[in-house]
Amino acid sequence: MYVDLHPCFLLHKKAFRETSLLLEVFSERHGRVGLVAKGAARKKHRSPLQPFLPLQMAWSGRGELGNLINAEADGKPQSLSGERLFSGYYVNELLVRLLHRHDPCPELFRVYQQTLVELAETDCIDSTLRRFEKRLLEELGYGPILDHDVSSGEEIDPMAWYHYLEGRGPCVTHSAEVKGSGIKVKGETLLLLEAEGKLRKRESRIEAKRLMRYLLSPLLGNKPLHSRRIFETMKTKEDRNG
Amino acid sequence: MSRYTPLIDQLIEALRCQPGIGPKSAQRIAFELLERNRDGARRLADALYQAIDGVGHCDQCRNFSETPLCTICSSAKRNNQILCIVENPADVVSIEQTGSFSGMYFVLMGHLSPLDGIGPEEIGIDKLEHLVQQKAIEEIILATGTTLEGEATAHYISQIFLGSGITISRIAHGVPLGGELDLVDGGTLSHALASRQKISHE
Repeated sequence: MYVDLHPCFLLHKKAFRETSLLLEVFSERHGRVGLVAKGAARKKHRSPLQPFLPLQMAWSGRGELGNLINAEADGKPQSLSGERLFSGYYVNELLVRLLHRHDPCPELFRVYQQTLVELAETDCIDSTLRRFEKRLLEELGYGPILDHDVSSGEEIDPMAWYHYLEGRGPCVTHSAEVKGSGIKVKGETLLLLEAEGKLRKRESRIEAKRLMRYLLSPLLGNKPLHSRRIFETMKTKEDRNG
Repeated sequence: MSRYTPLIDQLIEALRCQPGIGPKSAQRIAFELLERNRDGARRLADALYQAIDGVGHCDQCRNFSETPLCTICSSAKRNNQILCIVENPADVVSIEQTGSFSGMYFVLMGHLSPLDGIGPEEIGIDKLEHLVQQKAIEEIILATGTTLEGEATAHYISQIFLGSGITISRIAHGVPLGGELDLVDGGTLSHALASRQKISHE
């Protein structure tokens, strides 16, 4: 099978055999695919094989791993630096961990492209990451319910508090204290996530982050995300230095 | 069925543990050593034995060393207020060859690579923090590579020392000396333009 040049992103690469690279690629047409780039480790300096750079790739082969035939840069790389670079790694790690191979998801590919552009420019990385996580959950068939109370069927009240139970959805609580399992979240945060709006308040950002982490954790199993761990240790040390 | 005798098999297999040596090269080296250069082979074997037993890591900078402190860390002539952070021992050699740096080094022995699970512990960040506190370092030069992983590593280290009063600098990236502009890639060129320097008339 021959796959002609089409838009792709490199999610991850690692050394393979003597001079080759093993690539994890996110393809517009084929979803996540694994490719072998023969001899690519030799021409390191000229190679366009970089994460976050829009690429056009062609490959051949059946089965789990294809053989890369051609890769060309297809636009400017998203200049992610500093904290934004770690967010980029986080997004890539989520895709590598959660997407099944050879399962096309063109809609998510578009969201990924947009996410990279926004990560380079936005003043609110949280909003961009939360939208990506929500769309990823939807793609995987675990889209969260964010617009109505699952116990009463009523619309979400922005001023009310809810507790969100995994596998069910938000249920209204009558006090700010949530008893039992689930994540405590305010109505307005649920509505902002639903509308994919900007999380302007600090509390909303914290609630949204905790909710998404809670929803992603059963899918990720008990293997922690490395990019998240590295980012968090960096943040604690930064805060300590004040 | 093996094509060689058991000892040759074992030798070829052992040679292949080096990067860049495939089955063909391993066979060529093995035959060359056995056929024409048995003395050389013996010296190689001895040197390997001695190096493996004798070379460890410097307690301070993590570079390869035969003594607890390497020659650079134990030298009285070096400026121990300025610390240059590099990824590999080879980077130390390159910088030393330029002769334009007289401070101390810290060798990470790699770089952060979140998707491979290489985090701060693996590149010795705890040791680095300890060293910086202990030695009252005034300036840190981040000389990690200009790859994405190198950038991520440099950012991580800069964040943990932010606000500690230490000057933190990143080595400049730009057009190589003797380089023609039309052969320089776009990313490097835009970086070179963004960090251009004013010419002063002195």
